Amino acid sequence: MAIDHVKSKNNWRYHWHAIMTLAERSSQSTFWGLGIFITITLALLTSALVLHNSLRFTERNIIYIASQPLFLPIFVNTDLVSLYLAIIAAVTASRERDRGTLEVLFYGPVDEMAFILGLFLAQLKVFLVAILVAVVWLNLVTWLMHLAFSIEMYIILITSIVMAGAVIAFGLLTAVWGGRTRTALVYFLLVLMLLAGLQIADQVISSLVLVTNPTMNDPILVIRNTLVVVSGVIQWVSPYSQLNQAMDAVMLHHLSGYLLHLGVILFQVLVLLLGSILILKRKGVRG
Amino acid sequence: MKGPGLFFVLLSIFILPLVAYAQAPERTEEFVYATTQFNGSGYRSALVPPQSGTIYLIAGLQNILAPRRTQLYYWPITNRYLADWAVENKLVDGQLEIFQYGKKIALIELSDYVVQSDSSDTEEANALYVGEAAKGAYAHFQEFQKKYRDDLYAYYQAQDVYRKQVDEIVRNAVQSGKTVSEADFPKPPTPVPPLSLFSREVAQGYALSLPVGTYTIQMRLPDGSIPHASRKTLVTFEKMQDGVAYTIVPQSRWTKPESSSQPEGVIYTPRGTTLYLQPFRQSQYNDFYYTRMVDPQDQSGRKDRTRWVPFEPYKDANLRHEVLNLAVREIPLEAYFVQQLPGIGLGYEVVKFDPANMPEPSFEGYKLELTADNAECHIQLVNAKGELIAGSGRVIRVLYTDRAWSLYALSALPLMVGFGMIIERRRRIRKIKVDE
Repeated sequence: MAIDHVKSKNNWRYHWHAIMTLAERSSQSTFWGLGIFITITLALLTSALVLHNSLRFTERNIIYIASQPLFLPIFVNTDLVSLYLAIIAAVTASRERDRGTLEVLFYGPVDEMAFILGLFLAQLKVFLVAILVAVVWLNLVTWLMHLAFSIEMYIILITSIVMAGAVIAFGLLTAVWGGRTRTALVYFLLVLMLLAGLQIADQVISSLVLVTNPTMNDPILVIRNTLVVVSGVIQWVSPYSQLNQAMDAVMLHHLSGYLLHLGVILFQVLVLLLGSILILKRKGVRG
Repeated sequence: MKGPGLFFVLLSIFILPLVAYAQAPERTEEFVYATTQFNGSGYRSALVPPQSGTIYLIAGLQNILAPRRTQLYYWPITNRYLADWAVENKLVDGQLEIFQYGKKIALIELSDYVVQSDSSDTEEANALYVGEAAKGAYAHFQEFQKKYRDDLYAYYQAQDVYRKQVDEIVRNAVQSGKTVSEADFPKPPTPVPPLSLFSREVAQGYALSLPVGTYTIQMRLPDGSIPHASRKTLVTFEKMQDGVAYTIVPQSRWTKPESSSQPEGVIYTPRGTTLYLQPFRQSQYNDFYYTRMVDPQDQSGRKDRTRWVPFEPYKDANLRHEVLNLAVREIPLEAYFVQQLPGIGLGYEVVKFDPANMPEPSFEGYKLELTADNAECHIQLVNAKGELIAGSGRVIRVLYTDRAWSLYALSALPLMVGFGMIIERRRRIRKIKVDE
């Protein structure tokens, strides 16, 4: 009994060591490439463009009313970086299998859980660095443009780490589910495009109805109502939507609403990671 | 064209207008509810056609549901069901049954009601009177109306007498060659202030005041039957919060004001701007419930959204202006006049209203001049007692829009760092090879 206990304790120690080694190796590999720096720069440039648009509007319109003018730039920034890291996670995981290195790894002290968690933590670590860069950028921008400082900005940045976790975990799930690198990427992008497309369609149709005629016999009423339902479901599935709703809750100082959305994203992370581990266990290292 | 052809052409010319006339929408007799609902500031009416299964009302306030039979028709141009009240407008006699969780919780009888509005009373501009109070209010209105008519008649008569007296004084002065002064003329009669109280006629309906919840309602006729389409779901909701909205008029584009309804919204503006702020009372509601209450046929509202509904202007308050915890001052509400600049080019200036030299004010507002000294300030309304009005606080900040270029410069820094790291790594690798 005592031996079993020690053994299980040692197991966890080995697991943890394997996870951290994998995470270290994978995150270092991401940092040695120029891709992550290009992505962070592009994300910041997009955020700058969004903010510049607001500044230009203020110049022309004289008045610009916004609760959190930095929320949209943060949202764009974290979305782009998390998307890139999820793709990197998916590519890394499926490439290990494609090249057969996954099998070699599994002869050592690495199992399905260590592999998935190692890759997950690696990309999350990279995201943390990207968030640090974003914090510096946001503070400089706030000071230079004379924007209102808000603690909510930090709450959202912290929440975005959990959101990125969900997106990375989804990338890993598509990798173990898709098998080959190309298939994994196709799955990942298709699901992403479908979710984003439906939500964009919902937004467009909603605004179209408001522009034309908001009465009960509207010509696109059925489409609109269907999209409202579909969008309602997606809002609970998509980590981006959850982050968006968490942002709204933060803006309204609605603590329970914020905790609910944070809880949903955490739940998504757990489910996706667990799903990835189980699928990998079922499919095996050779797919 | 021969005889038969000409005949058909002429026949079609005569028939066409008849065909067009036959396109008039078909009317059918239907049971409807006419609601008189409190919308946050006053009472408004709406038609609930049989096609609308749910009625939305604000909880805890008197609202009226009037059961009526009318000629209903569909008007395709606006995609709406409309009632032809002029053809048929019959009150349906009976009782209203209210159910909650399948259990009957109330039985309501028809009662008299009347809606009156008093434009001189800004606090209670629109009021609903139910039961005996309705009759009393209507009688008061009739007395008020009669007194107004009598006063107006007396005024016109006094004015006639005054005019005759003035004519006589002028005629005598012309004949005698004397000069007359203002003191020689009689005092003109005082005009009667316009009628400020308006009233609808006393009607009958069900007066409801229910707590927040979902109910089922139906009418029970004297013979025990339930009219078709009288069974509906009734949802009562409450406002989420009260606040103060501001209409912000920039001096440089005074005809294009902006609105600030979110209390947490920061107002950004460039340096050297002059703003005029006009406060309005507002309340926040669920978008879907409120939209459906105001117009049961409006499908644009969404349950997952809220909306701020602005009401009457907020008067009798000063604007407390605080510059970054330094200077605090109170700005009064003042009237302003927009004066066109002479010349053919467009241009105007906003000046303080001078009643002696200007016809009427263009707008009223609290004037704020934003310079480098007050680049960040906080505003809030203060009532006559010196109390801060909740929900009226806003932060105003001057944006440094001329520094937009720095956004892009800052964004490029990570790429520089990336290049630096890669160059450093390559340098290290080369060094290792050399050492080996």
